[in-house]
Amino acid sequence: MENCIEVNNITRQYPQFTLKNVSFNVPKGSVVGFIGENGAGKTTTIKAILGLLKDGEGEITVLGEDSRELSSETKEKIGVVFDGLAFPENLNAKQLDRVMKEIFKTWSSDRFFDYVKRFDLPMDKKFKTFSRGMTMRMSIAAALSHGTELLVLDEPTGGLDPVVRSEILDIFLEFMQNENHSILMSTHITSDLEHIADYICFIHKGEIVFTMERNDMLDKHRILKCTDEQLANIDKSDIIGVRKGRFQNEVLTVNALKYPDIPADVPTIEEIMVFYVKEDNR
Amino acid sequence: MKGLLYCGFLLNKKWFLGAGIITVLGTAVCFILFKSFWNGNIIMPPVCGAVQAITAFICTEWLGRSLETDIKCRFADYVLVSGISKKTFVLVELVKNIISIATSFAMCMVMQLVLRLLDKQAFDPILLLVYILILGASRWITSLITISLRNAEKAGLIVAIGFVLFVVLPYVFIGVSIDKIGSFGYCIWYFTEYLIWLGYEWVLGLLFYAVIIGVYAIVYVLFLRRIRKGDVCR
Repeated sequence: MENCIEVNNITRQYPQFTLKNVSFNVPKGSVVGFIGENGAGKTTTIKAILGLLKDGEGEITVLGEDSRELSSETKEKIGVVFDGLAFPENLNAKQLDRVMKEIFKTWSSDRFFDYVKRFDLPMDKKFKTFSRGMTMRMSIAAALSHGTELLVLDEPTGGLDPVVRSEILDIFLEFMQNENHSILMSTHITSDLEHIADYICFIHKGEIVFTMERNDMLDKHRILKCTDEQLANIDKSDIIGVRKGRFQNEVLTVNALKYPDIPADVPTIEEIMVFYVKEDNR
Repeated sequence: MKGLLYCGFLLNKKWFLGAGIITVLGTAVCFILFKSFWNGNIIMPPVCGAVQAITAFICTEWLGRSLETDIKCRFADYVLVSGISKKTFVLVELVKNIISIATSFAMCMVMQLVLRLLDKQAFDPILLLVYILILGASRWITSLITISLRNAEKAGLIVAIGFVLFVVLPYVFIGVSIDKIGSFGYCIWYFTEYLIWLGYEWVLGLLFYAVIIGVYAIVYVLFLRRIRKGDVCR
């Protein structure tokens, strides 16, 4: 399968944070949900993919090109949405259109204004008067208004109410109707990925914990609801994470079939993430 | 490139308007001063000079602030991942600098041309050009430092302190500490007079422009290296 993003062993050192040997791919035509808690390294990884960080170890290719040397033609195909509005706040939609028209050769004003109308956004109001939901919708409208084939989204639904989040996710699904389109979406709101992501890539403290197909991930992982006695009989190597409760314990495992006597639940993506992250449960 | 220039000037046109208003009002004040006082020809030049300095300052003040805003709201990152190359990004900042100093020069020239009607000595385009170019070069250095500090005010303060420490103070101290015959300032004066005596005063101009172009070129290279290094908006 062709990959539109390939990240191979990237390492970046910062005073209080390090990305360590991060590797994953975004297959063409798929949605990859990039999850992790706050400060895990999602934004840093995305910036590395976009060629915005200092040089370091590892290689990243985007649409077949080295991310540090992306051609302008390739950049035209990448739509980016950062966490928060990345445009000067004193611009309005009409002015942004004029600016973007000169930046992107494939910019379509018609498409942009269509999205602006569809998202019910004002044309003449300055962005500084926008709410969080409005700024995200404006960012998405801009990201979709040039010849975008790859959307790179950094927390596009953070801080939004469920109605707006649902609307934005529908737009992404619409974008994915074209099998040549792909999305890399970082988020810590894992519920958004339940119905959109094809793959889940989980990062924790600068390291990739796993990259799996979403359905595969949900099929493999189970939460065993067990007593202390049953917990003591579970092989330590089968335990990914433990949550001890007053009346029962919960154990995340990928080998639930080895314990047919213990009731097992299908976890959500969020529960899987929490179990992997909580170190006191190991 | 056009998009970024349009964005920059659209968002910061108030600075140019402000500079224009200062120029007009300043010209009017100078006119009145000259006509109202018996020693108007003594009072007017410093006032005229002050107004031109303020005009040039206001016309160029937005450069660092605009860059700071672009960095803080991550518009700089957005632009760098769009079709704009890193070279173009730096070139846009340079063009903004040049257009700003050209505009301030034009405004000050208009003022000088009007005041020339009162006093021919009010018209000194060469001296104006020298000061405008020094200001432009210092703003260009400020833009480079703004990227590192993410703060235009601090960058401006550093450039101002640097100018005082490394240009003004050595000139003053050397002149004060050594007998005048052998002082740095005297050497400059002697060199200048010598060139004029030889008929090569044009060398002075050439030297000055060479220094200015050199400063712009060095800062351009450093600016581009800084942008290529990454972490612009971090």
